[in-house]
Amino acid sequence: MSNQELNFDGIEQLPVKDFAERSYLDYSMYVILDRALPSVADGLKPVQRRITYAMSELGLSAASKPKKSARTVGDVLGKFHPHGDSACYEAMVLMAQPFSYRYPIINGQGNWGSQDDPKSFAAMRYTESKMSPYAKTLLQELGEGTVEWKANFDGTLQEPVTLPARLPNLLLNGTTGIAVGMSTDIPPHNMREVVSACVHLLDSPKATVEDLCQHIKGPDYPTGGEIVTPHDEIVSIYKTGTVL
Amino acid sequence: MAKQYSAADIEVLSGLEPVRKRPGMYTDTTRPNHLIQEVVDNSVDEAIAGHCKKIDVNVYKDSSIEVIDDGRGMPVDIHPKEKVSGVELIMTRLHAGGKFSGENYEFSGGLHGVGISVVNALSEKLVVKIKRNAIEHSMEFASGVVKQKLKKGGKVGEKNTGTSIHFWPEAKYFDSINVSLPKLKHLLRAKAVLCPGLRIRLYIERTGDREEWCFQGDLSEYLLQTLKEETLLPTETFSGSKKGNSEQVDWAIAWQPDGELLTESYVNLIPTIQGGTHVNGLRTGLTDSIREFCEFRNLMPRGVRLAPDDVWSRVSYVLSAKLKDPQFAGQTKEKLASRESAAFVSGIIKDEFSLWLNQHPETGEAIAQLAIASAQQRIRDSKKVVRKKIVTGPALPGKLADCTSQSPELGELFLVEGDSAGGSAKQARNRETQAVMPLRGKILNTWEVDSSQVSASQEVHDISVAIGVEPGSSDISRLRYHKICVLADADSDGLHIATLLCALFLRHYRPLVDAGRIFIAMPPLYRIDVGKKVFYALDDSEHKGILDRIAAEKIKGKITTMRFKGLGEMNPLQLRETSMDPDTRRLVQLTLDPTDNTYQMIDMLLSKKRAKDRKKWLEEKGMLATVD
Repeated sequence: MSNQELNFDGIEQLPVKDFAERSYLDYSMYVILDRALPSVADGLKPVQRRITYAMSELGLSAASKPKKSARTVGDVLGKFHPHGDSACYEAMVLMAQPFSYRYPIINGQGNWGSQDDPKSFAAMRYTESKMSPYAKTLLQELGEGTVEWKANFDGTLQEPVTLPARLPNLLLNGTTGIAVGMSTDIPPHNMREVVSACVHLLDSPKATVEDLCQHIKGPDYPTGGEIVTPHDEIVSIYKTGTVL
Repeated sequence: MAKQYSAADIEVLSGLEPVRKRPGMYTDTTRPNHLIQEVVDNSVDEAIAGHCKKIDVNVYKDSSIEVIDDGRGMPVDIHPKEKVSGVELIMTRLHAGGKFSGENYEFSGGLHGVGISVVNALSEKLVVKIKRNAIEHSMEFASGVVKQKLKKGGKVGEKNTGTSIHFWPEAKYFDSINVSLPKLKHLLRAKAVLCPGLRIRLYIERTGDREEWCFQGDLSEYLLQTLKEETLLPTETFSGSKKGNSEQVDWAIAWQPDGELLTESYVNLIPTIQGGTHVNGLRTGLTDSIREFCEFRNLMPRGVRLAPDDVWSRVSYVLSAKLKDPQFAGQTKEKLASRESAAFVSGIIKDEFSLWLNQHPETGEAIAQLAIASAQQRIRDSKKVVRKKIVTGPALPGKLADCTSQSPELGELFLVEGDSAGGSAKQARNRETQAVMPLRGKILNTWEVDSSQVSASQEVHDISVAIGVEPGSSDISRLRYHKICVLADADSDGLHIATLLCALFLRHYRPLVDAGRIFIAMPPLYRIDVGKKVFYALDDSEHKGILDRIAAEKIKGKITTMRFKGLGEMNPLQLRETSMDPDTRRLVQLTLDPTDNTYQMIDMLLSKKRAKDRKKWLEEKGMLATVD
């Protein structure tokens, strides 16, 4: 019994390599699945979806009176999104800026930043917000058993896994995001063009990218712009997702 | 043709069938030692209840084993409900026994609860002889089935009672049919030590060896007997026993200026060779009370502080803890992991030993002098480093909450994620040895930054000044803490911060990693809410333990378990208990093997130009990640 090896601090050992790889893997997968990249179904990242859902829960429809943004942010953080408040408010501001979103989801009252300095928005205790009419396309069919639900972080509430988008919001508003090992950058598009392409796709499910490009001429940025790329190149970009 | 799978194919195993089908569930199938333990446990439980004085264990040449005790003898009368004799019930039915009520035995040695019927099931032959009511009875079984019914034999004296069980383990159930003698001896001796007055004899037919153990009185006698040739302080040992609601602790302690130490600890009569939380508790308790005693009597020379090792390095002890539902760490069950026992043992030892020291001031002072001498020696050894510290250059960063102790060997620096957790860590720390530095947000990815440039980042500069080592320097003699612990939330961002810090240390402070100075503190993974109470579990096994405890204590309320979110969620006291207190925390030391491509791996993870490799890596291993 005298050759006992007592380790009083209960210290275990682990090679740096294993620890770093495992930690970074968990972090990477979390960022990819649950932070930086949007869902193809509704085109929203988790924080955007949670803001949208929380506002609909607060009854901030397009027809109602706007409420202080701090209330929305408070609900989002306390109910669904256990992260920092400033990051959440910035995500919300972006969804309200008509020069950032082609079809803003939020209708803001107060100083929400200007085009030449998008970060000059007022603090959330000053600004007020409600949802834009466009948000209805994301939320209208929510209560009809259209989407799956999951428990929130402490298991006390349910939140939708995706929103039942009636239009391809991912294409309409576009998105940018950087995760680990992969990133996304999708330009916004015009609603009429996209809807017309969708109708065409429903009529002829085997339509090719060329066919759809007859309806969608190219991106449609909220700030306007001039398309200098030739049509052929645009089609090739739509096909491959990248400039060759 | 495929066979039809119908209700008729469902088997219900009855009687001893489950044991023979799945022996591994009921016993340790490497050797028959565990079977002996089951039988001996029954006899020892008789001894604890005060009915048994002698136990004989005989190991025969044909690898059969006989265990004889002089307890009350198994009941031979007919069971009113089952209509068979008590012996038959005990031997042939699982979960039949007299220990369920908890009235006869408060803490019983057997944790396994299936008892002797398993022994019967796994033996090709078993003979039981019972002396009871002045008559000798006998009964025989083969592979768990009654071979010869209970039979009355010759008369014996009225007072002559006892049970003898002779069994032949069936070879096919075990990796080796031979009994491991050292383990058996260890087990028997442990039982003898912990049951005062019980005489245990072992006879091995193969070698003709006989051994006998018998200890009168308490643990102190055992300690004195084993160390009779050594000088002990105090000469008659400090021993005692204390019982709580669901725990009990017995101890005998003596300091020994030189010679080989005796350090044994037990939990519920099971030897815990690697110690565990109960031993940690003993160490903390002794240190606290000696510190207090030295303070009362002004024994401490200037500038000397007692470290736990000063008190602990020359102590011999026997510690026996009894817990309601102990938890063990690791596969071997040789280390106790129940965290509450550290607090229980240290509290009791501190109170009792303080009292004792003040009742025996002279011996107390001698013990204190022993510890002080050790502390002085330690300080002399490290004096060089201390003197160098005085010329430490730049002022320490304002965010660092430094520890009061001046010796880097004891110092621990906690790099804490975020100001909210930093604040509670500052309250939770032991301010003598633990320093806390909060990091705001994520630190810079320093993997591709030159060592001369990294200090441009404020966070890295602060870390560098706090630990007293320049980035890229190979001289770590001015290191201000010998343990640098990363304490980040157990969520994904915490893991990111830990990775970035690993990269920083590996790239710019390589000597620290080589010397094993970098640690990761493991905060709890789960938070368990029951009604209004909140528990934290460090890992899955502890999570299960807590659920058991909740069930055992019948705490009412809905149980919800969730992944733990952030350190700021906990009260400082909880943070101390789960993540910072050396006795109860879980700390992982990072090691570096120069041959295992650590650099290539981290380069792939963090280098700016290798996004493609990262994508490939994620495609290969992404499904292995744990995402909640």
